[in-house]
Amino acid sequence: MAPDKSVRTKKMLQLMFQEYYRVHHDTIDIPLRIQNREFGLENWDFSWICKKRKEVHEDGKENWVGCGRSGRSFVNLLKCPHCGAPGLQVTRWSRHIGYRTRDHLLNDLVKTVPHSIYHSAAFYSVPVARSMAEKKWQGAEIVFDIDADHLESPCTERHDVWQCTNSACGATGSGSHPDNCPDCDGTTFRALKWICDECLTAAKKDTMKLYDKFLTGHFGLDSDKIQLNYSGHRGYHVRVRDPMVFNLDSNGRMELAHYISGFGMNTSITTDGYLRVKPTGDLRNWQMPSIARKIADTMIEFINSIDVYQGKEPWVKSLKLYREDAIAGLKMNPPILSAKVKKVGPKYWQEIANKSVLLYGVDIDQPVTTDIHRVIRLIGSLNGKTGFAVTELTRDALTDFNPLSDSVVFNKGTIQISIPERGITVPEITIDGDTYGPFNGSIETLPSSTAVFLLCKGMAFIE
Amino acid sequence: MATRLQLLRYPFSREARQAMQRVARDLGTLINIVEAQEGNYVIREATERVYAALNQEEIVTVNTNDDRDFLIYSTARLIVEKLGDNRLKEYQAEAESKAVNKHLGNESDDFVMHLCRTSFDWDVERVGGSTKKSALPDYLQRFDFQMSFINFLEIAPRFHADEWKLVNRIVERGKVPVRGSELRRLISEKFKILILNSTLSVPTLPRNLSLAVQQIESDLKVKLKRSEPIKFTEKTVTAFPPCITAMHQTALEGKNLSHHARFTLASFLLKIGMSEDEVLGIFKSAPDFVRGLAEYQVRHIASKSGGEGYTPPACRNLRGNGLCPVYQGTTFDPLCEYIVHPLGFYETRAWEISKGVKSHSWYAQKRKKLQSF
Repeated sequence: MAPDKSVRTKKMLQLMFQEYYRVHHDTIDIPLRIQNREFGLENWDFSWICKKRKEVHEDGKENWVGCGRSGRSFVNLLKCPHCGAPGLQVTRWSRHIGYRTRDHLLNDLVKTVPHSIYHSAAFYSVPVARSMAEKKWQGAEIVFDIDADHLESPCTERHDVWQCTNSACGATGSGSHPDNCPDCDGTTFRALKWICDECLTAAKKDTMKLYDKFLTGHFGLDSDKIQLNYSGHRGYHVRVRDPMVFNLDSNGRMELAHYISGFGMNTSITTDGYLRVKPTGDLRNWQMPSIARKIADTMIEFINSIDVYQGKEPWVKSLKLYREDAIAGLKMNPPILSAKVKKVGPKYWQEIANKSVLLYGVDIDQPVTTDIHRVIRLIGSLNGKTGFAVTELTRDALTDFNPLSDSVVFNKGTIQISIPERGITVPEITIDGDTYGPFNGSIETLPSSTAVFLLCKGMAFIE
Repeated sequence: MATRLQLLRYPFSREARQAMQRVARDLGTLINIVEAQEGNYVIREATERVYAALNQEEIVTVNTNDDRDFLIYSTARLIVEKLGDNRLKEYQAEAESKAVNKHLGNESDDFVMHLCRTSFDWDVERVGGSTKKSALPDYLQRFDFQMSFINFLEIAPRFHADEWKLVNRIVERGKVPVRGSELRRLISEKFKILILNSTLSVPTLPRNLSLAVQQIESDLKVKLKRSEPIKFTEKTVTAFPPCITAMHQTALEGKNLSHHARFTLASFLLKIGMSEDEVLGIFKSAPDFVRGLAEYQVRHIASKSGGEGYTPPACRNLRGNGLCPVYQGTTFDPLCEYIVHPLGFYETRAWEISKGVKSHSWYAQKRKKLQSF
C-alpha cells in the first residue's frame, strides 16, 4: 500500500467531514446533561509517544531506550522518527474529553474533525477524570445496539469475503471465514464485512421488534423517552432516556438484556393435553402457570410465522396444515397442545417450544447494554467507516427508512478513485439506488456518495 | 398507619426513621442520651443485637414502651461502623434482614405495600390493579402483587434461582407480578443492601459505649480468626481465571456468594486438587455459613459419579449467569479468548507460570480464538 496515497485520502476525507460539520450545526444531537458526559474521539491520525524506558536483556545487562518525545502522524509508525527506537505507544483515540456546552462541542468538532465521535451513556460528576472512581458515576441511559453483524443474515454468504493470511497460500472464500483454511489449514484470516439492503433490513426489523414488542410493549416505556438512530454503518441504536432507569445497575441491565434476547428462558414442557412446565430445577410450582403462559405466547408468535420458517423438521408441515388449531389451543388459559395437530406428539411439541424461544427475542449486542460505562456514537455525527450520518429517527420514520440512501450526506458530483488490485475483490454496493462494482484493480469515477463509502472502508484511494 | 411494634421491627421505614429522629435528631444527641444513666440499657440491648448477628442468632425486638427503644437499632449500627470490620457488617446486614423477613410474614398485604411505597418509593399494587382477582386469567391468580420492573430489577438479580430471572417472568405494561412471599423477600434484601451501602461518620464515643465496642472487638477477633479462610499460595491464585479470582475474592472478604458462584468455586477448587477441608475453609467466613450443610454440599460436589466430582460450569454457562467479569467488561485477560472453560484457563496459565512465560503473544500464533468479548 502506498502510504502517501493513504495519507492523502485520509486528509481529503477529513476536509470533507470538516465542511460537513461547519455547515450542519443543527443536525448534531446534543445529549442530555452534556456537561456530565464523557466523550471519546477516534481520530484520522495517530498520536504516538516514544516512552523513555529501561530494557533488561537476558544476560542481565540494562540499557535505556526511547527519547520521551511524542507527536502525531497519519501513518502508523513502527519506530520513533527522532531516535529510531521501536515499540512506540500509538493510538487513534482521545478519551476522557468533556464539553461544557453545545457550542463548545460544535466548535471542537469543526476544529478537530474526528473520524468518529462517541459519548458515554453514563452521567459523571467529573467526566474528564482518568479513572472511573474519580469520574463518579451518576447513572446512565440504557442503550441497545442491534448490529447486522450479529444476525447472520443469508446475504453475508454473498457479500462477506475472507482471505487466508498465510502469504504462501492466500486462499479466499465468501461468507464468514472457516476455522481452518481449506487449502493450508491456517487459522488466521483477513475478513471483509460488507453491508447491503438485506442485512440492514434484518437489523431494522429487529429494532422495530425491540421498540414495539419489548420497550413500549412489555416494559411499558414512554415513546417520548426512547431515542432511536441508525449507527451510520451496520445497525441501529436505541437509548432509553427515562430517568427512572438511570440507576439500574449492570446486573439489572443484564436481566433486561436476557429478557429481550430470550437467553435462559425456560422451555421444558410436559404434556398431558395441557402445556405444563416441567417441574425441574428451582422453578417453584406456583410459578408454572405464568411460565406456561409465556412459553405458549412464544410458540404462538413462532407458529404465526411458520410460513417463512426455513427449517426442515418433520413437524413443520403439520404446523402449516393445522396452524389455526395449534394457535387456538395455545391461546386458551391454561394453554392446550391441541390434539387436532396431527403427527405432533410430546417430543415434537418440545422441539417446537425450543425453536420458538430462539425467535422470540431480539439479537442485541449484550455487553453494550450491560456495560454502564460504554460510549456510543453521537447522533448527527459522521461515521468514519462509511461516511454516512448517524441519523436520528422517529419510530414512524424507521419503518420506511433506507440507510443506504437516507443517511448519505456527500451526494454532490463525482470523485475519481483507484481500487488497488487485491486478493479480495470489493463487492458490489448499492447507494442512493445505484449499484456499483464489484471492483478489483481499477480506476473509477463514481458519485461522491459511493466513492466516499469505498474510501472510508479503506478499499480505495483518492486518485 | 404503623404501630409502635412495627416501627421497632422495621427500622428502615419512613415512620421508624421519623420516630428515631424525634427522640434523637442526630448522632450527637443519640450519644448524649445513651451516655446518661437511664440510657445505659440502650447500649446493653444494642450490644446484644450485634452479638446476635455475629453468632447468627435471631435478633429480638426490644419493646419496653420507652421511646429510647427506637435508638437500639441505630446504636447497634453505630457500634458496627465504629469497628469498621466488613465481615461484621455483612453479618449484621444478614441478621437484620432475616429478622425483617420473618416479621413481614405476619403483616397484612396493605401494610407491606405501604412499607414499599413510603420506605423505598417502590411502585407496588395488587396484581391486576383494580380488577378483582377472580376475574384475572389463571396464570395471574397465583400472584398477589405487581411491581415496576425497575424496582424488581433493583433487587432480584441478587437472587440466582431460575424463578428470579426476569426472562422467566411475565412482564405486562412495565409491571412484574410477584407473590406475597417474594415481595417480602425483596423488601428484606433491600434493607440488607441499605445497611451494606450506608456509611456513618462515627463521632467520638462516650466511655460506656467505647467499652462495649472494645468488648465486641476482642470477641470478634477470636470468632473471625476461627473462621478465617485459607489462603492459597500466590502461585495457584495467580493462575486462576478472572471469574474464579472474583468469586474467591468475594469469599475472602466474607461476603455471600450466590448458589451458582459457590458451586462453581467449590467444584473448580476440588478439580485443581484441593481437599474438601481446604475448600470448606474458603466458605467459612460467609455470613450465612452453616457448617453441616456446607460440608454436605462440598462432599456432594466432590463425590459425584465414582469420586470424579462435578466439573465446574463452562464459560458459556458462567456468562449466562452473570459470573463472567470479562463478559461484563470489568476486567480482561487475553487468554480468555482462547479457552471455553475455566479449567482450560487454569491449565494454560499454570503452565505459563511454571515455565516463566510472561508474554501472551503466543496465543494468537499457536491457538485458535474460541470466543470474543
